[in-house]
Amino acid sequence: MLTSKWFSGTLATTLLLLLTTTLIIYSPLTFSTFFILTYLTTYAITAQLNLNRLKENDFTVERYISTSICQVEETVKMRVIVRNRSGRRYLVKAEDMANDLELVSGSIGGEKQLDDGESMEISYTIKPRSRGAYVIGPLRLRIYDDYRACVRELSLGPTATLFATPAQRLDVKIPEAVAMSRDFRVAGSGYNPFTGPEETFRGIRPYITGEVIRRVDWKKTARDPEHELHVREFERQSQMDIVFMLDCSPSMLIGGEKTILDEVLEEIISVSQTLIARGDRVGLITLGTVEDAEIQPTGGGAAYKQLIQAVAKTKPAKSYDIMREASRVRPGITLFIVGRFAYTRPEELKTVSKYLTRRGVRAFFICVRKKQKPHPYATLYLEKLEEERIAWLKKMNPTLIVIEPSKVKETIAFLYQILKRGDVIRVY
Amino acid sequence: MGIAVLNIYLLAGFLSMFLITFAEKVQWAGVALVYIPALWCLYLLIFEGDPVPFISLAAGYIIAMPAIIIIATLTARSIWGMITSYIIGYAISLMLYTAVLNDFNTPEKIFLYLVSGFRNLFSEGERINLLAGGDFQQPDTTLLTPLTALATLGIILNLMTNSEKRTVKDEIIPRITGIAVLAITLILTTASSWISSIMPDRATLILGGLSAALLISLAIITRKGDSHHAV
Repeated sequence: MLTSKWFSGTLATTLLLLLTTTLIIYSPLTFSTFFILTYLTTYAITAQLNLNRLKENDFTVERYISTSICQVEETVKMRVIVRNRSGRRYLVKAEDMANDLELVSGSIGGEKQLDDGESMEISYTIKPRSRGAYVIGPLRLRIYDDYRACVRELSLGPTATLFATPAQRLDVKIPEAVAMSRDFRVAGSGYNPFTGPEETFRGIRPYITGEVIRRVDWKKTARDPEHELHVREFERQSQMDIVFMLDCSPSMLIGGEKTILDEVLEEIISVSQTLIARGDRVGLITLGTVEDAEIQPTGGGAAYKQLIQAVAKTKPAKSYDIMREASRVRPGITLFIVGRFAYTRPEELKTVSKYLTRRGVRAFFICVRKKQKPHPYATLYLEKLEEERIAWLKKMNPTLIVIEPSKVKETIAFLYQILKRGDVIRVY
Repeated sequence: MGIAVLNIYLLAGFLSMFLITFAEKVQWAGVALVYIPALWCLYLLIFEGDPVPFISLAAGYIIAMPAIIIIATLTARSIWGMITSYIIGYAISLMLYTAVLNDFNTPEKIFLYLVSGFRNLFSEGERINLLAGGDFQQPDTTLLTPLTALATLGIILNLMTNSEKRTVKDEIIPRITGIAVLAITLILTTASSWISSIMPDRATLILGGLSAALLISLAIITRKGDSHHAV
């Protein structure tokens, strides 16, 4: 298509030709105007025909992103390289699409006259301001002829997806998390201080070079006729299948600058990372979003990535029916249901708890409660209402755990420890 | 042949026009030399009933316009600005030249000439022409045609080297495509000029028809370009 510069020039010349053939009639002037108009239109025709001959693969785009998963406010570097493979020179103006992301440095666009084989690089740094899944690209390319008479627009891939998660705290090891949760009164006994809580004694066998000395069984070694070293062997407890069922409905969007939802997601990502690193399988079910996620318990790095992506894409949208959601859970898993339960009556919660127990699901209900900062007006009244609601929930469901969002990880870690030991848990 | 009466108001008008153009650089001096003569002439016209200073001042503005418009053409940043300035400047210069050619060489007579030109717009004569009408002598084309041709080529070359961005490589001489287009344009213009000389009554029709054909072709081809822009 014509550029605005060429279009306005052609239009002006057309009108002036009209003027010089009707009102200001002087043949040299008239033909001069005609000459200019003919030149403008003929050049534009040839330039446009030339641009129309461009094919899909005449320009290639390579995109490099420093990371596809980041935390909110973390900077991410992007590099895009455009190469001209058309066989002739063009003036190229490129602009990348990075909507909703804040540009920290560099420029998302560039302009250069590219000869055949020449490339242009655009590099910039961006950062997400909030949690979400951001699509970067495609690259919008405007190809001009030499004199900017005509332009051809192309949208070239590939695109990149950036998953932004809430900022995470430094990973807290589970034993430390347990120490932090000392105040949480749960019945249970201590774990083996030598081998840790997750291992059970299996037997004694000959020493293999490279094993740790502290596992050597000295009594057996001493009794051996040839004084060969023997070690105690322990095996990990069978891995657990843990599912987090998270309330991601609009009721979780309270809490000021950092909402309850963001805090809970941050905690869940952190604890999931630890659990997966310890060999357990973690799954996720989100409730009340545009598109509810349902990830079956899986282990390994891919599982963590899947969780991160699901968390980043979470967009609160609607309420949910906890009974219907609970029926999706398969037996034999450990389920942590975290949320405000704003849409759930106390009787419903009780029914769900019994239902899950009957199905063989070990379920823990964690109600998050964030105290608002004191405000002179309506907040005080709403705080009181919230307190009464939670008190009523707790009264009908004594096993309900009520905590601040920032304590979610520690609480889950503590419960996990106890589950691993196989102890009975009583919540006070 | 020239402006017969060179009075102070004519000079003031002539200079004022330049000062208006360079107002950013001249500032207070410009304000003084533009507004004071204008206000004084207006006073004389309204309170003293003397129109000569006012007409002389206005004539000075008109005489300065071709020079001002040349400067505008050379400093224009857009294509339409450059072409419009060129054509309008040419037309005004031609009107002044025709006026002087027909002995309209005093400020008052220049106005009479201009008025007669505009009167032609509303007359019932066969042809309307702001430049001259009726028995007025037309400027000689022998001198002006080669000059016009050179000016036109100058405009084209200026278009080709008028770069908006420093990063774009400027070329003084257009490439093969540009030369070929220039040749096609020359052929079309020469052909239509020759046909117009044979059939002068059909000149407007020929030019209009050719222009329309080119514009329609351009519209069709650019639409084809739009239809497969997304890859």
